[in-house]
Amino acid sequence: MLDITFDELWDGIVVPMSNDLHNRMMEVDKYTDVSVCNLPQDKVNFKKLYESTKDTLKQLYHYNNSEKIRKIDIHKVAACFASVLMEYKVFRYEINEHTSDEVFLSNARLAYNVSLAIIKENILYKYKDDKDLLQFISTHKLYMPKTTEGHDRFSLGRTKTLMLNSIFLGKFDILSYSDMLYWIELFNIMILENKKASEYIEDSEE
Amino acid sequence: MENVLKNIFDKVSGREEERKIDLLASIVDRNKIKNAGVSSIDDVVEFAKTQKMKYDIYF
Repeated sequence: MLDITFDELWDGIVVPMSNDLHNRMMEVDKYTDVSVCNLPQDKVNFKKLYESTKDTLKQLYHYNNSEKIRKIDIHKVAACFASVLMEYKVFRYEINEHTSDEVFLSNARLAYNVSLAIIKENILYKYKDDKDLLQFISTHKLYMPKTTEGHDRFSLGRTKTLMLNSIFLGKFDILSYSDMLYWIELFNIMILENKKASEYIEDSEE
Repeated sequence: MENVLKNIFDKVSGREEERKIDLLASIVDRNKIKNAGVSSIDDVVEFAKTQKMKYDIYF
């Protein structure tokens, strides 16, 4: 990833999104003091953490085909951003009896939404030559699947899962998370192209 | 007989464990995931910037 790309993701998505979420938190939770770590010095630290996370992922999990340049796909880039945001914790606060769910879920919410923003940009790029679709995508949110009755809405469920996993498992599963992002992207592509799911069935190996 | 002696030697010297670790490492290596980027994150982000699109927030 070029430096300019990282700068754009940080300055164009992470910083303004964290400020928006912070402002929303202040309206909802008037008791908890939340600090926001999205300053230029945080950017440097975050970038180092991203690079080391990405390098570890490549080293441990990726097949080493030495003939080709080994880049990771955008779903994994987005998943690495989510992983690092969960680890870095842009929002910092002390837990007390007044801590609201809004605050408790804040880092997970930011991680989830930043990764989705990257996926949306990937979808936009896929249709870069289709003016009508570009216009539509730019002005509409990504579609999310319905959940079963009694379940949280999809995005809230994913956000809660991120937070609970960070507490109970302590480790972010980048590969599984990137698979989820791939599915969200495919779900949206199917809708945008008005295609049936059966058109995306994998070829049989037999 | 030679095999028995070799096994004893390996276990005593700890090389049995090292050999197993080397074997496991090579099995893990060939089962690592294949990954290929279809589009470059640099191109994606550069293009997105031209669209002046604001991010969404999902709750």
